[in-house]
Amino acid sequence: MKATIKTLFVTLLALIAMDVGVAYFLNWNKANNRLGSLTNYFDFGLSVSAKIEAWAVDDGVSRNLYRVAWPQTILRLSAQNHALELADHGKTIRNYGMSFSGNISETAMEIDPSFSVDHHGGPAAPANHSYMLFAADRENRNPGDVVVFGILSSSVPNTAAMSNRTWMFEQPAPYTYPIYYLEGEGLRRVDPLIGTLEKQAELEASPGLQRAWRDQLAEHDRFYSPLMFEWRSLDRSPLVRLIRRAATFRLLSQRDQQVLQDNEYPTLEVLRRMLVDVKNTAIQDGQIPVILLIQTNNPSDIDLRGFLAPTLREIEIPYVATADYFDPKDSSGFVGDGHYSGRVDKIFGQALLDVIEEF
Amino acid sequence: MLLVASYVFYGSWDWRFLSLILASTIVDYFVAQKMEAEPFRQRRKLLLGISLSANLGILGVFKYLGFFADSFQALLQGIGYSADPITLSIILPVGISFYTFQTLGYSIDVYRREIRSESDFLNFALFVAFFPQLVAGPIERAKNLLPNIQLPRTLSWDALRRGAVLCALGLIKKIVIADGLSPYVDSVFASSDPTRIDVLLAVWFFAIQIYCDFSGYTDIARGVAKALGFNLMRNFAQPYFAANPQEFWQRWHISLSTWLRDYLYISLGGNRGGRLKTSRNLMATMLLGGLWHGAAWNFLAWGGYQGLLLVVYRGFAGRKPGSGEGEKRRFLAWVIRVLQIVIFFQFICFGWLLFRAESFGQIADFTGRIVGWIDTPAGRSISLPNFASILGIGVLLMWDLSVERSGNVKFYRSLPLVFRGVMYAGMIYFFAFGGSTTTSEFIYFAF
Repeated sequence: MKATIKTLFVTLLALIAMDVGVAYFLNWNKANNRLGSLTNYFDFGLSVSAKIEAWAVDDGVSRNLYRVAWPQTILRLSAQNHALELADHGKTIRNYGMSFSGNISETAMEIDPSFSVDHHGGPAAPANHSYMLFAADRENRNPGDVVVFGILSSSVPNTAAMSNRTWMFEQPAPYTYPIYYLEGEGLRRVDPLIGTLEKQAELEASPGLQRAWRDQLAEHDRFYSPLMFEWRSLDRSPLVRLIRRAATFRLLSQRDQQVLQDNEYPTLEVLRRMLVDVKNTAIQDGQIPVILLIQTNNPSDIDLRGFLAPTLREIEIPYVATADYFDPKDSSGFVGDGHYSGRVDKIFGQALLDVIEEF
Repeated sequence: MLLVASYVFYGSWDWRFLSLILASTIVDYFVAQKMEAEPFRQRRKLLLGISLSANLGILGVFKYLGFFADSFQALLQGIGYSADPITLSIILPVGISFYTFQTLGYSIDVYRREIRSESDFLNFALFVAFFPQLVAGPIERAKNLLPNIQLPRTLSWDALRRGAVLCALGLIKKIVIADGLSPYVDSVFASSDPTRIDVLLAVWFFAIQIYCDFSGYTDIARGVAKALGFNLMRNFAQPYFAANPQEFWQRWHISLSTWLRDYLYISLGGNRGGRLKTSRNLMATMLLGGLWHGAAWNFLAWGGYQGLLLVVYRGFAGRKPGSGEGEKRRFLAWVIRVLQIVIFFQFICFGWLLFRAESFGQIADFTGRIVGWIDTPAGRSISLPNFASILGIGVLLMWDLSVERSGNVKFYRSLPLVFRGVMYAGMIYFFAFGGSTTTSEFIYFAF
């Protein structure tokens, strides 16, 4: 027993020494602007609040997502572009989604240059972000436009979230969006307390607002956990950052399961009502609605075609399910960052044009 | 207490399949009692037949029936007969191949009068269902585990410490290395157009993945058992340091290979009866060994390939004792041995291609890409596995080299306390650093 206690003690000392050494090495790297992938890797485990704060302070931080995809900014830009469009500018694909749906829309435009593309999206944006933009952007669309509404398999559970900061732990883009609940035959919308970039800046200086915001997230966002946001002092230890990262991934995966399999949030019905509204609004405005069901290469994602296609057929809304055209398990169709390759996007782009043509 | 824990552990996966373990336990307990009391060999044989029929019957129904029904149907269709589709939705009970072989080994040992039957039913039930090794081995021998079960339990700090090291090593193998390599391997095997380099790397990485996945589980199982006061058998002895097929099978999945040798190969006649009969016995043993892994043609092909390697090797080199672990050599002998190891590793890897491939078409396609019959773009098309898993391979290589050179799995215990402390801390840190956030099931759970 004595020998075991001695061994434990020496192991603990060695562990602390290693951690201090690694922390010193990382700090030295940062001080000397040597931000390699190893430094980034350890930074992935920082608390979400620390990451967002670092992005807010320094725009030059690598992969800074502080300013991206805030709805107000997107809508302002959309209105400006719309005002500049010529009366005979031709057919426009209005893309509400994320980079995947943007790439497919762009490729469709390359195949048929009579189209132009107008993007409204955010990184891995869930459907509630796209739906809110679609609803608010109505004045900036014209009759004859094509409304492309992209749904990404990996973000389906996050229809039960209010910001990417609660479920994209490594790259927590702080942009926000409403959460929708079933009410009567329609949807009730709960807006986030932090709805704009300006409000986000205010948040950092106001402990009261921080408390209210966290209370709102705790009440409405199924992915929020203090584990990701609190105990900032633990960020000093690289070992604790690694442990926080692992624990958060485990927690998020459990939350995905709770939302989708245990029906803690009525994802399918909320999506169905959103899509019915997208269809009705677009047709009423003389536009062509097309839903893109985009399956990523992550095998643990929900089977989006199986999950949503029957509903889309039932409500008679045109759709392109990427899994109908390319097997998402075939890795030859993806580039290093997980997006589809240009070759495969061309297949999807053509499918999108075919659906538009058929409408 | 341990028996209850073992049943709860197994039942948490699917409580209905507890009935299979119980059936196997009850049949073998009573058959062994009868066999021990039975003086006549013929009657003992009859009793052994009951045990074999019950265990192999369960295994046959739950593991192989669907496969043979499908194959029979395909055969009929192939020769022009129309056959109604036979749909069997039988779930494969986890660990069935492991505990069935373990309890069968006990019955055969009692039949051969190599051990006495266990009179205490609870002790025997624990032998069959002991949770650390229940679902993926090692396939224990009654003469090793039963005496351990009969002893009073004692908690030892030394055993706890040794168990903890084994668990840490197993977790690094599984969660850092195997799970880190898995996305790359899966991507290449799922690609319709991988490059030559992709295929080569994927096959090499799969060799490491399956070793780390399976031996990682074994280390954890042995570690947990050790902490509880049980010594489970060693299942792997640096298998990729084997320089020939015979050595490989003395180092890889030792509990299965020795089981097949003792209960199948020797029962078939072993190497008594000339070269031809020995080759036949080797082939039959390895084919069944392949089929043990699962009801699929590629496992059969893998078993056949391993059998062929053994037959050819024995044809040229005869039979040599020892696995080579811990042997002292001169420099030139080392150089030659390293070359042999590197060359033989490629043969092992081709076997893993047969094992991992999703169809015979893929085996042909990947082989064509490796040897250049199929043109592929230059370079890689798929991103390499994460840095931690590659670093982990280096760390594991150093570990296995230390065991190989010293011939002692506990080589680190002779190090000064400070070095050991740093090594344990390094293991913890490395596990936290490289642990994959998306863990997958152990590959051998499927067998």
